[in-house]
Amino acid sequence: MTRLDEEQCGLFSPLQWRHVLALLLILVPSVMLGVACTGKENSLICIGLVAAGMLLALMDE
Amino acid sequence: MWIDWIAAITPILILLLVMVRFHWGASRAGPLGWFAAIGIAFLRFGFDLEILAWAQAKAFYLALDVLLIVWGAFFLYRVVAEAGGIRLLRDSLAKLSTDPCMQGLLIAWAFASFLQGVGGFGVPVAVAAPLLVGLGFSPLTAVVAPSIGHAWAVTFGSLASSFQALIAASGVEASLLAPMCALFLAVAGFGCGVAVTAVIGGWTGIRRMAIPIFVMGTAMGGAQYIVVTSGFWNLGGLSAGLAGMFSGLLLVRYFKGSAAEEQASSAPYGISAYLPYVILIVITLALQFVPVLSERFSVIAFRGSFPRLETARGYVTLAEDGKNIILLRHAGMILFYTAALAYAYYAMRGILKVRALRAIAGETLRNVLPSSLGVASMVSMAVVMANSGMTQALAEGLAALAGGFFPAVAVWIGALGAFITGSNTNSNVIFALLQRSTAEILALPTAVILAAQTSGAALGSIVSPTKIVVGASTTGMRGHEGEVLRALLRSMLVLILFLSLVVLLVVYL
Repeated sequence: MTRLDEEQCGLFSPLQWRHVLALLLILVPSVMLGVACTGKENSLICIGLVAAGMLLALMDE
Repeated sequence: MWIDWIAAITPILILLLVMVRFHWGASRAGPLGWFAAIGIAFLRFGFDLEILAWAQAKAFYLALDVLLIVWGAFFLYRVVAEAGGIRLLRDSLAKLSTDPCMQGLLIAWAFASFLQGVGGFGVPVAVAAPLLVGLGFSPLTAVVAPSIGHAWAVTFGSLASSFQALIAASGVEASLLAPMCALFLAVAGFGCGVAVTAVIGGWTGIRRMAIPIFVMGTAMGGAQYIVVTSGFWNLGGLSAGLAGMFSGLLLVRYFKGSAAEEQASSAPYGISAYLPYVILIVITLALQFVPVLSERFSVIAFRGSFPRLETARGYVTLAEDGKNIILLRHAGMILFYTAALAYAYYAMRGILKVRALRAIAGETLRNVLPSSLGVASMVSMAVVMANSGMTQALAEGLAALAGGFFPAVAVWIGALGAFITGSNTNSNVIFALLQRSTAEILALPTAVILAAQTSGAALGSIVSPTKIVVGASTTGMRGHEGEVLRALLRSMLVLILFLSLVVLLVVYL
């Protein structure tokens, strides 16, 4: 009935897991910056995490 | 001034270079653009850590607004596709006429526009191109025709995620933008119909199909205009696609070709294939017009509040409240509700197996991940550029260069953005504020310029590298993408030139 079969229901590929991690690293610290990060140190940590996410996405093959 | 202008355009040129020359996807090019924008903002525009932190927080709200729709739209599309709904629609249309031009208008124009209305993300090309090959079209024509045919429907397609991005990035209200956007896109829609017919049947085909083009184009453009100016802009593309298919079905009896056969559809699910779109319309209207529901679904809302920011060079971004995101009434959530109800119905009828949900969710996640990264990174880049004064510098340079011709140039800027980033949405995110600032400097009507931006971006998405790759891969033209690109470029340039002239006429007449 359906085109997708059980084999396709599995986990992400390593590349897709990297995409998931990169997206989380970009979005989660970004929302923290809006609601909780007020000090310079906190901002630096959050921006560092966003930059790590961007770097991870950038290193895709 | 010109050094600032060159510095400000550098992140965009870097994006263009890596995507066009080195074939990077948006998910990879976006982060590079973000790093470039930050580097230049710090070195040249007096940016600092505090502004960067607030810019990133603003980017989250903008990105979330668009991503909810992207995720919901693809999820709904997968549910319907798995239940055989898309196949049913496709088969029904293919059996109606043997006239290649009429087939092209029905499938590559109306059906592809409908698919853009409900799905988008390259789906119209991916579904329509193999069907056209099956009907005997050459692979090149099969890719080129739907790539052109659905373009006009991109802005209000995918539940209007591109229009949503235009509102979010420009800060202009939907009610001001919708009429001009619908008008320009309707004009572009006629152009797309003519271009599809020209690709399939040349000038002879255009003359022969003049009536269907006029009737279907009026139905689609008119339906979209009425729906979006009534406030239901997230249903604009869907309504236009439905109007196009219905008007085409009414006309097809006069353009059947030599030996069209009346055949019943082979799909066993009948009208239930259309059910999700009925559910979608009902939920959207109910949440809009039933006060009790509207109130109940407004309990979870969040809105960012951002302070006044000033760079070391004195560029000021005023304090602002971000867009109010009412989560349970958001267009993206409405798509999820629709998908869930449709899935429950299909499961009860035995059309979908219970385990299919896992496969649908997995497929959705896999497909939306790269585009989500592209949206998140490019939105971040655009906000950095806006808050550092780079967008303002670009706008001032463009205003000085284009002068009175800026309304026409605005269309090309939108198209360039879509070509660079591969999407109407991303083009709007990057350039909406730039277009608005330039319009204000030149005292031009903001709504017209922003409508020109998104209409140009819709047409520019014709040559989106990702769509070309999808189309080529589904018709056995992998490795011949350059040939497809050349064919598409010709049509796209003519369409954009035509739209530029229309925008100039609207502004100055």
